[in-house]
Amino acid sequence: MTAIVLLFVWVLISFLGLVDPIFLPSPYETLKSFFRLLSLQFIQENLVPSTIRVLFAFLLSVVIAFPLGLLSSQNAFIRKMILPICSFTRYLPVAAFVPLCILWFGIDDAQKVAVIMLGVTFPLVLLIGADTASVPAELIETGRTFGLTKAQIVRRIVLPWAMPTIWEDLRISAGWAWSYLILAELVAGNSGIGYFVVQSQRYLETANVFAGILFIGLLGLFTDLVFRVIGSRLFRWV
Amino acid sequence: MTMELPLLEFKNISKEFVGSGNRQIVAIGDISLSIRQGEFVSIVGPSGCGKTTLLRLAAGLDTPSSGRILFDGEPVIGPSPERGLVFQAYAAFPWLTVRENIAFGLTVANSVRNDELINLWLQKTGLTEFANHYPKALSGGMRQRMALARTMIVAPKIVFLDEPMGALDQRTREKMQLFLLQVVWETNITAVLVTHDIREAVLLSDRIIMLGARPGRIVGEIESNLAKPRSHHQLATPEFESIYNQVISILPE
Repeated sequence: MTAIVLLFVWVLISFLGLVDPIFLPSPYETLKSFFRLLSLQFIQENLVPSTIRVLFAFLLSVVIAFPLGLLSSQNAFIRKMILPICSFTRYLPVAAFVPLCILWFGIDDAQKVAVIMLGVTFPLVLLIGADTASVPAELIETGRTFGLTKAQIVRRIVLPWAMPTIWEDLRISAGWAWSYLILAELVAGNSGIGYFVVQSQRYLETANVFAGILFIGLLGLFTDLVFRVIGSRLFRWV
Repeated sequence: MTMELPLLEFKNISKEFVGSGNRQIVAIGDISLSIRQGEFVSIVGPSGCGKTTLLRLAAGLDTPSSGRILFDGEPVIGPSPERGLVFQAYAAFPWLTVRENIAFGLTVANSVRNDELINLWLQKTGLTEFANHYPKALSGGMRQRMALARTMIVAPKIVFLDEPMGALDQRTREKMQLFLLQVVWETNITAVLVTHDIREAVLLSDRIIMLGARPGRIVGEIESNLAKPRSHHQLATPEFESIYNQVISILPE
């Protein structure tokens, strides 16, 4: 409903010519740019590099965060080692690290991956730690009365119990990964969707800026959908 | 008649917890109690009398602050499949089907799948047609029958029941009591039931232990010699009434 109202206002403004199209292109121009983006060239130059960066950085974050989160919920010593660092790092805005990442990793893929991982890994450790700590005591104790070892309890009770919520947290953090990628690409780079948006701004191709933003939004929506569909298939018992 | 060794023995058990503000809380004062092979014992008492704590100690999930617990003559040092436990909360594994839930304990002990035994327990619990459903599809009563089957299928020597009927409505509760009686009757297992419901305790048990609170201690015990097999018809008999009245006369409010 709100979306329709906003769209209507947008159409009205551009139709009446209230704002210079350099600042606010018409919905028609935006759509036209958007469909131009669906070309092979745009996909190769911007969509593919962006997607690869996000996938790589996100998977790497998960591979690091998963064992750390799990260990922190199972072992008091490791929890004391890890949690304070993660809790503190969580409050440092990722944006503040972008210049440092450029200094350390240049402006290529490594910088994007570093920014995403900085933003995603630490909160994910905390989330996975909380998920795997939330198993009801009766379930773990039922396992103990059957003679399960600590490792068996983790494998047969803690992980299956926590998997659906972990998946949900991965879905949410995948959204963060996209945002941090765009941030990293806006600031420095020579390919990617964020780079495309900032280039379009430099050449005052505002319709392309709008189309780029729309594209980013749809990509996020798509990622979300993929997670939801796979999740509902994997976790039928929930 | 020879003197039979008790199956489970609490010897001067006490249990203290550290409560809020580092205050020591004595959950159990000094309890000694022997449970014979094949006996059905109920433990009743007000909340805070440590009855659940007593079960957890015997199951090996907690350790006593002082005193010893002997099971089959051996000190209890941790949980064991020989000592089964059914919780008030249904404790179903939500990611496993009803069949997999019931079979859970079997898959731990040995890798041999005993389909015949699993089918038998599915049948006993009336859950055969739900075998491939997840627990979310089950009612509270069904879940609790499933939990009892999961505990019983590994053939423990004793079963601890921590208010297994506490969360059920009256009608389901009565059905669960009958199911429990039937299972205990068939397997001749030793059972220790913790319950709030004195009628339930009188109906099901051979002996009722009454606890007082703060600290938890035994204030009395009564043998129930109601005829077996037990049924809900006995609730209306003078014998039942007499035992029930004795229990409530001893039990503190």
